[in-house]
Amino acid sequence: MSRDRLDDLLEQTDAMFPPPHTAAGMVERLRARAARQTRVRIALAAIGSVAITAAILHSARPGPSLVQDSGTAHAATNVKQLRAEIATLEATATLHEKTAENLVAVEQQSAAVRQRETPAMLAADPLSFLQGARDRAARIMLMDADRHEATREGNIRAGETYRRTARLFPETAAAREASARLRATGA
Amino acid sequence: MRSFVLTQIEPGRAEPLGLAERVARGDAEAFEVLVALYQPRVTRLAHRLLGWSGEVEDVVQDVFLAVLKHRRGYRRNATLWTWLTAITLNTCRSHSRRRGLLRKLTSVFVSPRVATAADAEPIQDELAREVRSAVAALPSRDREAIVLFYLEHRTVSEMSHVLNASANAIDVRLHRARAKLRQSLQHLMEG
Repeated sequence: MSRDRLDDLLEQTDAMFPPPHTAAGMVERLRARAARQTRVRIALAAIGSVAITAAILHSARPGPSLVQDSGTAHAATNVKQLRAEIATLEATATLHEKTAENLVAVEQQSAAVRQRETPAMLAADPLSFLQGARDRAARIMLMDADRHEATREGNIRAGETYRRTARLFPETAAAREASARLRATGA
Repeated sequence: MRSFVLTQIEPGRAEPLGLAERVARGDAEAFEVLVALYQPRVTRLAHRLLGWSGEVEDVVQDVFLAVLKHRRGYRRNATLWTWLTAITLNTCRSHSRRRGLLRKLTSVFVSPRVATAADAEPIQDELAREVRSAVAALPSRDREAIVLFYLEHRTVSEMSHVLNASANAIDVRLHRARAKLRQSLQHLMEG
């Protein structure tokens, strides 16, 4: 390859691709671009200044983030405590509910037994049924008074129970026994 | 504009006296004269340095904006055109780097090939197309040496001043660029 041949090839190629014609008004376009670049620089400087100022102000504040964090942590602790209390209350309520259900069930069973037994007796002789009930109640009170009378501290309470038995169930054998005991003790 | 006759400065013609100094002082009128006088030469040089790609409008604007920005850096021991050539070389290097980066990014996200303005032109001469491809394939520094020496007809001394390298370094660069072109265009050199 000779230098002349390379020179020819390059010059032919250069002639084949001439430079594009640039439109008029290059100076105006340059001024517009320069002004635009200046505006961009000013805007960037302003943004940078604002960002730096904001960063300085933010860092100068007396630990707002720490306060906020502790407040958040405190709130989280309160929520945990409230949840634990609610769980305890729910467990207690459940227990009470079950207890109540059991009591209701026992009561219903007792009522069923009474309903099965009482109507037949009531239908046969209501007065005898009531008299029997009064005799049993008076006897229970008499036995209770006798139990209190066995102790020294229970004498007063035993006397009161004898008197209540005689007053509430006067026509019963237990009432008569209670009156006899009161007379025996001189009360 | 009152001080100068507005004719385009061609190679070998004397530069208007005092123009560079007035531009360096920030004289707006002198800058307008500078643009009017040197725009065609800058456009042609940029067009060659970019491989006859045709995308020179932005580059030429960048060159004259760089003149505005660095006007105080003009050295009196160099001619105005030498200074403009150095600025044009740097601007074309930056443009080539940006274009290469854009091509890589585009090949990743869009397609493996970026169409250029030259692709849209009707290629009438296969030989010119091959020469252009061979020159465009050279590294930028080798391409600069080829353009300045063969198309701008600069001497090695002028090139060493513009490229900020010794004459020996310019000789080596030219030799290397010629060897690469010789290898690429070997089949065209026979005829």
